[in-house]
Amino acid sequence: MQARHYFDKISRWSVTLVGYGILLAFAFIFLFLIWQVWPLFQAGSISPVASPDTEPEWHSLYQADTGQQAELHLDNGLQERVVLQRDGAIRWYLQQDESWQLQLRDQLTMAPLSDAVLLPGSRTLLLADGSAQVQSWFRLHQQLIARPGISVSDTPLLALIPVSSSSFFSLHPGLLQLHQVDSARLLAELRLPSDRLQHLQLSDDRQWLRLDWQSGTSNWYQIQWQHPSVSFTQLWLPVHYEGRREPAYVWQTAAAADDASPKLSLVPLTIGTLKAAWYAMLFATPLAILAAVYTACYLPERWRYRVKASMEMLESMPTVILGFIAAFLLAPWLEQQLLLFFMLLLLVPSLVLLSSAVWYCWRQQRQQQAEQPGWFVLLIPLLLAVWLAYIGTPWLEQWWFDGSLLLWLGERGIDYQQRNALIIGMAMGLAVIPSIFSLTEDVVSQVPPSLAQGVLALGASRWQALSSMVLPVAAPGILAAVLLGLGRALGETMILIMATGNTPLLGFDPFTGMRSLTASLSLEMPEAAVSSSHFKVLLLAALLLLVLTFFINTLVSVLRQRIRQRYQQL
Amino acid sequence: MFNRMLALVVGVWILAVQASPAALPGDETTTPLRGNLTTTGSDSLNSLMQVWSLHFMRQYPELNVQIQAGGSATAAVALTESTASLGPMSRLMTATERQRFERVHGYPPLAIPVALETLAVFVHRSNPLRAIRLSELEQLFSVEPQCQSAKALRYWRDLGLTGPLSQRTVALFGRNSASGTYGFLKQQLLCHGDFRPELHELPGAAAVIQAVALAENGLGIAGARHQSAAVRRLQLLNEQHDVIELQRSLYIYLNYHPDTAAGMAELAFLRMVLSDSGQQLAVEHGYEALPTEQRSLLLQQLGVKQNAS
Repeated sequence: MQARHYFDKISRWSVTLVGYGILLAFAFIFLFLIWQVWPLFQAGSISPVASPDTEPEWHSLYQADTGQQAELHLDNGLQERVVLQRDGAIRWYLQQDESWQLQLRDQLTMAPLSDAVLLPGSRTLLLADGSAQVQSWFRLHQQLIARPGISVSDTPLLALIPVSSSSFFSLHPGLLQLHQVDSARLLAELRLPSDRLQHLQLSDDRQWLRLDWQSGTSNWYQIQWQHPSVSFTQLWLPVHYEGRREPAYVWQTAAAADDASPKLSLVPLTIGTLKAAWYAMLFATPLAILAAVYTACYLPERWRYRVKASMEMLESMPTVILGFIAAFLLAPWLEQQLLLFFMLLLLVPSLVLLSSAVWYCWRQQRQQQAEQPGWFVLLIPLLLAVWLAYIGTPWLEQWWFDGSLLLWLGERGIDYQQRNALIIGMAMGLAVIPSIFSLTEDVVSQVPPSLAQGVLALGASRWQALSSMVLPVAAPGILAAVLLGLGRALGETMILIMATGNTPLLGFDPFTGMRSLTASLSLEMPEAAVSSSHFKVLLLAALLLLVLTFFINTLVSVLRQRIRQRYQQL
Repeated sequence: MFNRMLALVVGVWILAVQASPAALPGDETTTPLRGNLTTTGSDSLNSLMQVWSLHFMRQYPELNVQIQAGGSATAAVALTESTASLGPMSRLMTATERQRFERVHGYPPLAIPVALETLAVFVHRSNPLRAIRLSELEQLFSVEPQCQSAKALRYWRDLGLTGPLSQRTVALFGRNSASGTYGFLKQQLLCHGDFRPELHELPGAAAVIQAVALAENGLGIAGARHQSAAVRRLQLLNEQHDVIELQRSLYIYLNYHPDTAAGMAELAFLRMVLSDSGQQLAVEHGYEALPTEQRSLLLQQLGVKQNAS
């Protein structure tokens, strides 16, 4: 007796422990992601140090000069040179086979120029004209293209000092500011102890700064860069990058191309995830709900079990198989038979509905009670629809679409990509149907039977009982089922990697592909340098996904709780 | 730019002419080695590492080589944390990775080019196109062409095709842009421009070939050794219409202490890789061998440093 009591206690404790353990693990993952992502949003800093541990290789970036030259000669280290006059006349030269060729000549309208720099390893030209905005231009072939200006301190500007291909110092009396060019952001600021700067030097790895004063003394500083190319602007707003004609949302990561700063906009990825989920739900929701309602309300008990069991088996199907089938069978087929697909989509439901209506009217005219049509009555219009679609498609394509629907679409500016949202809708729809189906079926079949019986007793038909009584009662449960499916669709990875082209496109066009957050995570994580900005932004994407699915699943639980209470009250 | 293309074979060391390039040293078995040799790194080098390690273990039966492939980034981490002694990478380490290694160990890691991979352009087998110029490739893949021409190409008719295919857009297929292949293409082909967002990024080279085989309007870049009968390989031409090849180096990174050098087993492995038989294995598996002069220079470098210890 005593032993049994203890055994009881121990098992209860261990179950509680496991439960809390899982909760703790979840909280730990969440906190870990936040801890990893946090440095992305920390500001950089320049802090004084006694002197670096080991004397690094210094690069002189600035030297106080006395007179102002009439012309500025700038070099960017890419065999390109710019000659700039104080009135804004600009000539850009390119080195070709030992000689300098004039590439472009322009006249910028601006107040007399105070300073200008060409960023090393890039084609960006920064111009300061005494206002608190530094102008940013870059060369694209024979053209100068303006980028948004960069705000600097409104105290007089002494000099612009190039640091890297995307950052520069602006020197003011008693103040040194470090700016990022792409996002026009102030990275760090340093109050200078003196105005009389003689020399500014930066170490090879851009971690150390050395300032020599005219008095002969020197100061050392350490630069904490943090993540200069990540900010709210760059993650969520269009950014005008060098080499492009207009601002854009760009996801372009090249871990190997070290010199280029990564372009990390989460907008295309978020839109890709939402787009995939939207088309999957568009395909899955009506099918799953209708099938579930039919199974719960119309099928005999025996069949209900079989259908439900096989649906649950479908749920355990590995999505990698679905992705494979979608990519290598469905996608090429759909490209060949796009019109046939649309014909079937149009003809099958309309013919089935039409024939049931005809059958119903015919029975009523003969004064017979309208029963459920037998399966053969449904099969005939189904086969008829398929046959009509097969016969009609080539004819329609020839007559209406000049022989090819794809070319017809192309002429109207609609680009059809083989791996598109329709394919994803079908493949991922198939993956989420079982989860929506089984919850909907549960909810609908658990509606207290007394309700439907009461309505039927008052003379309502089965459909009237279903639509006016059962479905409204079960509605929150069905919504929960749809949300559960949505949660699954948002987190799906394998189908998206295999069957989409992982193209970071914007927009909800059905004929183009997408790149989802999950696919980016699994494709790029192995290649991203650990704790680089790219790596951390991928973790941010993971956090975003976690929050999104957590939110949706919580909503599902709340809705399920409510429907359980509602059933108990009835 | 196109002259640079011709000299794409970028080694870490400058080539020097050696007196007798044939019969490189390093392949003969000397002292018996035992213990474990762990390598962690690139997926694309994985099959080659397997072959090399089998060959190596035949030479040194008491030595066990363990290979883990989890992407190039894992090599840098494993070397930094000393959980692996060799790090095969399909790209050079980034500045941040090098800095982290230096911060822990106090000296930079050593990159040894071990083989060359040829990249090829593939189209569907029914495609009448036979050759493509590098500049056209850039205009196809770049969102805003940077090298020479400002005009972007989108349709097959822009490449001079006629017939129904000419009306369709070129569907671009390639590896994921974070991969070493694409970093290389970004620098060498696109002049640091950006890839078009419409570029289909597939998880592996075999997937690229399969996708091109199934898309009549497809064009893909992948390692030449993945070629199959279902696709046609295009000739690459430069502006002067000479046939050229796109090649990139694959590396093995090594924790090489400037004074005490690397372990005997690591050095023996690299000597085997750079030897004639090691390079022969690479060629058999679809990679290209390094030029003999470069190899002997690398071997000499490894050997000299070893003697100095």
